[in-house]
Parts: sequence; C-alpha cells; structure tokens
Amino acid sequence: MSMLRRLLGLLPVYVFLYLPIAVLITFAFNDSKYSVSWKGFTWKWFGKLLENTQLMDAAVNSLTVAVLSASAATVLGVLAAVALYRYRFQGKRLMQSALFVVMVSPDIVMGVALLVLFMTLGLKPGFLTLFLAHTTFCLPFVTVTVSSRLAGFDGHLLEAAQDLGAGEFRAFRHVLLPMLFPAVLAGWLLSFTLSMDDVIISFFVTGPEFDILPLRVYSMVRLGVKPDVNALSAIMFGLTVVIVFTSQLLLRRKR
Amino acid sequence: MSEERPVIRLEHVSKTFEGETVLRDVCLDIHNGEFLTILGPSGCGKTTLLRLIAGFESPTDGDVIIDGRSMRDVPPNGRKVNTVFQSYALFPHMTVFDNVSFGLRMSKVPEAEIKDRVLQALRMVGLSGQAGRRPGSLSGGQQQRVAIARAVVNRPLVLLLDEPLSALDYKLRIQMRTELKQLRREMGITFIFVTHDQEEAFSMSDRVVVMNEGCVAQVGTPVEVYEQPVNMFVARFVGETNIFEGVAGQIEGGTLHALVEGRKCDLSSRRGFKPGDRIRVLLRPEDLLVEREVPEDDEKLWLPGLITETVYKGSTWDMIVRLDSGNEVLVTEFFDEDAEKMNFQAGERVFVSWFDGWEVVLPHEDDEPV
Amino acid sequence: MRTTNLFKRLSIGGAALWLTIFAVLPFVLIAGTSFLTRDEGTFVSLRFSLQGYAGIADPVFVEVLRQSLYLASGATLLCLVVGYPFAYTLARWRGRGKAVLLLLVIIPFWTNSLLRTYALVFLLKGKGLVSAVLVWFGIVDQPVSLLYTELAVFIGLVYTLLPFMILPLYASLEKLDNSLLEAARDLGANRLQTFMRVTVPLTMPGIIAGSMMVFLPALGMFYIPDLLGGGKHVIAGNFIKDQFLTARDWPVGSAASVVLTLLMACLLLAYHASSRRVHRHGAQGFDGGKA
Repeated sequence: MSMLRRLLGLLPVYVFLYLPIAVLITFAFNDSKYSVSWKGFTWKWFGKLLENTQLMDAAVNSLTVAVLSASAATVLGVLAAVALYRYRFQGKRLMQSALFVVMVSPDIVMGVALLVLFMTLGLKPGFLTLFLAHTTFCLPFVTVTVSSRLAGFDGHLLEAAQDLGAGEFRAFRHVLLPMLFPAVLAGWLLSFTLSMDDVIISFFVTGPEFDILPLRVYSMVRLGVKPDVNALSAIMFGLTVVIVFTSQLLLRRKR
Repeated sequence: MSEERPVIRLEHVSKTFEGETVLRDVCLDIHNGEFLTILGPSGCGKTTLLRLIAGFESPTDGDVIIDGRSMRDVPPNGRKVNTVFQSYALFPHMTVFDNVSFGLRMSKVPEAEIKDRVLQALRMVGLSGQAGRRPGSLSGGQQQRVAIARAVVNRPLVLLLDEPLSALDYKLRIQMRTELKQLRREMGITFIFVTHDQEEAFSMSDRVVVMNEGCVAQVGTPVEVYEQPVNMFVARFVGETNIFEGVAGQIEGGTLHALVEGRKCDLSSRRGFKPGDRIRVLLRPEDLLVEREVPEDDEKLWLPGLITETVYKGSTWDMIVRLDSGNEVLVTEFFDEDAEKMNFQAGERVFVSWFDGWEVVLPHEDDEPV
Repeated sequence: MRTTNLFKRLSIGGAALWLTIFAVLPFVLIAGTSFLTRDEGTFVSLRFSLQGYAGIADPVFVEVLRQSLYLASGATLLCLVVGYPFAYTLARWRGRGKAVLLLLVIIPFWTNSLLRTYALVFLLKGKGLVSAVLVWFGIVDQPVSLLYTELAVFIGLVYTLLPFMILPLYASLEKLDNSLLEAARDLGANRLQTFMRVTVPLTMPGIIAGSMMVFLPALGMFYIPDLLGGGKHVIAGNFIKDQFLTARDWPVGSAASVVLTLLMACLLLAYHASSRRVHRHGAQGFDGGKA
C-alpha cells in the first residue's frame, strides 16, 4: 500500500526525466519530418544518418578520441588511485586537491584554461589537444571509482603479498589489479561516456579540421529539429544505457 | 640455548608514530625453534613489534636482526619471515591453491615443486580437498588454515601470528591452540604469536613476553610469569590476584619480617627491602586457605573476615571474603569430595591465610591506583 | 629494491606530472592572463594590467552575471525542491527494485546533456508535444511555442541537472542512521521537528554538494540558453565563450573565469565546513585513501 504510494511520489520525476528522451526516440521512427502526429514507422532516418558523411566522420573522430583518452585516463587514474592509497608522499594533499578541482570545476573554466594552455604551448587545436583535454577531465572520475573500491579492501592484503615475497610492482600486478578490475573497467566505460558527451570543453580545444559528434550535433540543432539527429540520439541513448548498466553491474560485484 | 645465536634479536628498538611513542627501547632475543608469545593489553605495542619484525614498519631507533643480518632497509618481501594476519588477508580473487602458491611463485620456485609443496602444506592443515575453492566459500576456521598454509609453505625461519584466533568461536579457538602447537613441533620453526588472551598465551608458549605501554614488562616461561610476576602490572594482567598491603621490617636470610594488613608476619622474598619500605604481598586465589577456626599451634598469619559471596564454578568453588581490615579477597577452592569446608556459606566468619612461601612480595608502586 | 622505487615513482610521478601540466598549469595561466593586457595579434601581451577586471566591472558583464546567478540559483532551488523529497523517498525505500530505481536516475546522469537538451527543444517547440497537449486540454487555443522563453531555460537547466542534485542527496540520505530519527521521535520531536533538526543538518553536506553540482554547471552551460532561450538569455558561460572565441578579449574572459572559480572555492569551503561538522573528524570531500 504505502510502497505504491511512494512509487507514485517518485513517478513524476521519472516521467520528467524520461519523457523527453522517449518522445525523441519515438520520433526517430516517425515517417514525418516535422509533425508531431504519427505518420507510421520507418527506419529511413537511420539510413539518412549513415549517408550523412559529415556526421559519420565526426562520429568516428569522437569514438577515436573517446577510446584513446578513456584508456589513457584509466592508466593514469588507476596509478593515481593506487599511489594515493599506498604511499605517503610530499604533495599528496596537492594531488588530491588537483583531482578534486578538475572534477568540480565548471566545464567552461576548464575549457578556456586548457585553451590558454594549448595556445601557450603552441599546440594546434585538433586531435591531440582534444585527446589531452579529455584524458584530463576523465582522470579524476577513474581515480574516484577505483579509490572507492580500494577503500573497501582489507589493508592487510597488500602486506600479505609483500610478506610472501612480492615487490611493489608484483603486489600491484597480481593482487591489487585483479581485485580492482571491475572498478577499472567501470572507470574506463564512464570515461568513454564522459568523452563522448562533452560539449563545452571540446568546444574550446578542437579546431575546424577535426570535428566531433557533440559539436557537429550542436551546430546542426541550433538551426532546428533534424530527424537524423533523432536517430542518432536513439543510438547514443541506447549505448549510454548499456554502458551505465554494465558499469553499475561491475561496481556492485563483490563489494 | 643461550650459546646459540638467536634467530631474531631486537636491539633497543623504539618506534614513534607522529610524536607518540609506541615502543620504547625494546631488547629481546628470540631463540630458534621456540614458541614465543607476546602478550599484552590492546595498545601496548605488541602488534607494532610484530610488524617491525615482518618489515611493515621500520624502527625509529634500534635494529631488528634476523638470522644475524640487520634488517634495516630490507622490505617485507626480502625477509625470511611470514605472517598470518588477524584478518587472514586471503586474496579473494584466487583459489586456495593460488593463495598458498603465491609466495613460491614470487620466489620463482619451479612449477612442479610448487604443486608438491602446496599440496603438502594443505595436507598439513587438513585441507587436502579444498585446493580449488575460493576463500569466500570457506568457513572461518578453514580460512585460518589456508592463511597458515600460505605462510608456512615458504618455509620461513619464523612464523609471525597476529592474534590469528581472535575471529574464531570459542570451541574452534581451543582446538586451534592444540593444532598450532603440533604444527610447530612438526615444522620445528620459530613461532611468534601475538595475543591479549593470557590463557591462549599460557597454553601454547615456551616463553611469554608481557608488554605494557610499549615496554617489555617481563619475559619468562608461563609458570614464571604467573607464579613470579615482577611487577603489579604483570600480576594484575595475568590472572586474578589478591593484594595485601604491608610494611617491610628486617631481613634475615630469605625471610622478611613484615607487617601485613597491620599484623606481624614472616614472608619469603629474595628482593632487598629496607625496613619501613611499603610493600605488597600478592597471592593467587588458589593459593589462599580458608578455615572456620585458626588451627592450633599454627604460627601463620590468619586474617579474620566474613564471606560475602560464594560462586559455584563447576570445577572450583569461589568465595569472596571481606577481611576485617576492609580488604576484599577472592579465594578459589578446588573440589575435594571429602572436605567439609566445601559447605562454606555467605555470612560465615572465617580466617584466611596462604601456603607458606607461595606469596610474591613486591615494592609498593605509588603511581598504581589501589 | 630498484623495481620497488621504480613502480612507486612511476605511479606517483605519472599522475603528478599529468595533473601539474594539464590541471594546475592551466589554472595558473588563466589567473595570470586575467592580469595581462589584450593584444590583437597574439591575444595577450605580457604587460600587467587590471583591464580584465575592469572589463567585468562593466555594466554589461554585471548584468550578465546577475542574470546568470538568477538562472543558476533558481535552477538550483528548483532542483533541491524537487530532488530532496525524491532522494528521501528513494533512500528510505524498503523493498525490492531499489537498485533499478537508482539506476533510472544514474542513466540520465550519464546521458549526453546536449541530446537531452535537444529532446526538450523537440518537446517545447511550436508544433511540439507540450503545445499539442495544451491545445488538447483547451488551455490555449492555438499551438504555442514555449521555446525561447525564460521558462524554457529554467526547464532546460532543471531537466539537465536534476540527476546531479539527486545523486549526492541520495548518497547522504542513504548514510543517515535511522536510529537517529527514531531517537529524535522518541525524545518528543514531531515529524517536522525531526526533519528540520536532525535530517536536514545531517544531510547538509549532500545538500551543498548537490547544489554545487547544479549551480556551477548552470553558470557555464552556454548551449542551454543558446538552444532553449534563443540567445536572449546570456549566462556567464556565453559571456566567457564570446570573450575567448568572438571578442578575442582573453584578459576579460580570464577574469570572468577567475570570478567563477572563486565562487566555486567558496562553495567548496561551505561543503567542507558542513561535512566536517557532520563527520566530526573532518571528512574529505574527495579522498583517495587514508595514509
């Protein structure tokens, strides 16, 4: 009884959160370009999407950047998490603060700050700058994901490994890493998503010759509704659901 | 034994954590093949001492010497000692076999030999059939055995055990005590066992190190520590103790003429007391005698008192006696079917004394609360 | 011994180096740029000036900032009002399906916010669903476009950022010990008193964290007023973007960024203070691990 009432209390928020996406996805299959009315089911917008070479090129670019920067962020983020967990060192607080600042800074500030950095370093805006920027803002998310799993570990596990003859690296390689694996994978997936989603930071650090999906979409939808963007949204939403679901499963395992 | 080189020697070891001294100038020789227990209340530094030997901490001062070699700057993986952790610290992502073989793999033992040694170790702890299982699916007692097998399979010089029985239930704990003793005999290596449980310490050890506030209070066999505590802390921490207040008089040979609870009494003590020194006479509950009347021709000191409570404990019968001086003492009588004194009741007036020479006389420590 | 040090150095050094170059240095540069002089050719010239700050003291920026703060704090308040009861109910959920209900909040959290904003455009436009529903109910006679109104911008901000409010709130409500609430009731507090004197103070870190995660992005998400407000509503994000990409006035843009960063720092301090009060031992907002 009261559970049903509670569920009804939660429902409006869920409707609010999902209705727009649901409508958007539904109309990705509507056989009409502008109308709200249902004109029948069609796959044609997905076909249109594939023919849109500009959009497809941008998608390939985005995927490339996302895969590479998620991987780099995962390596660095895991190392940072492990270093913070295991060692006392000078500047530890500073490292924690830097990670925290990157995570909470408004994207707009990160974006312009990186723009200034890249200009100062003389880097041409494009693939490299995007990769560096995306790796940077994904890094703290990996560290947080991995750290929270580390926090649940029995501190004696690493000591046990050392006691049995493993040096620092082998203790990491044979004990920590296998146990962290779900969190590492989840961190990678979340980084991939973050990278695919970012608009604001990318806006500042990419150049005209290296177009990526969110920016392409941004310039398209500024001019109004596009059915092939609906189709794209449906695909990307599906991808997000799969990734989030997988990462949550990974994080829940054996806590 | 003293001729032989100690397997571990602690030389003036001190340890400070952020300004707080946890260990203070600890010196200790640990002999090859002995079962040594470090006993003390929580916070006395006993676990830190173990971690210094294992190499997880390094001493602020002094040195740990294992097998004649200084361990300064030698990391845990470079020491021929292995640890059984309180939480077992079994690797949850590995099978029992992989857990036990971990140390051998790290030291690059040939694969064929690994298999033999792991299976032998598992057989030794009675887990032959469990090699393929994960630690998570084992009972607490089984996990404990895996942890022991994982440590001993490396044939360490010394096995360090950090309160390994504390997570087990009472019955299993008693059983594991016997098994650990047997294991040590089979293997012939040194065991260093840390516990806060004196019964556990006494039932297994060749020698006991009693620690208090970062210092070694006493080192000795269980009997020595129990019968001849060197100070009030050891006396109080190890078992129940009755304390009688007194003042020292003259010493003649091994006899100390003294006033105990305000009455004249001869004590045996080898310590040197000056006349007028305040002393304490310590007696275990089972060393006390209780009678309804002072036996004839007995020159012992008999202190009158009133039984305030009697407690039946199965194998013993405990009595609390409030002496006329106000001091309350605990007396434990072992059952003797024929003795009529078993029928003591609360409210009876009695006289309390002790077996000649069983008393321990210590100087009064002013800082000790009474 | 050598590999020991190697791994330790690599793990600390790798992360430290990256963070120094790509996290610390950019902020230092921005702070520096805000005190330099604008230059047509090279963007800035290395001469100290307060032009940047003079630029943001300009009535134009003050007006932008005012509007920006108005929209962002309005959105934050709306998110809090909607999100708190929701997170409360979710955190107290006894029974099955809790994981699923939570997952349903996490998914929008990770869904591309640009696409979500676009979905709103689709819904709010002249011939969109909302308009059709309004007509159908007879609230309006003719199809209306809610697009390019202040309301649309608010809806957009709340819609995009609501999950960012709910998740921190949920995390702190989840940790709330039920026996504390029972103790308050036992000591004679009524529901409202219990809520105001126990629940709210104890979940204050969550409230501040959530507010921070809504408020700060709301100041910067320039594409929301762009797509939903039709460019009529300029927020700090638009201003900064224009200074860097259109007006090419880096010192002013940098100065505005510094102001935003300081705002963030204030909120962080508030968060720390409140979580310290709740956890007594000065809990870290972000903590990799204990020494």
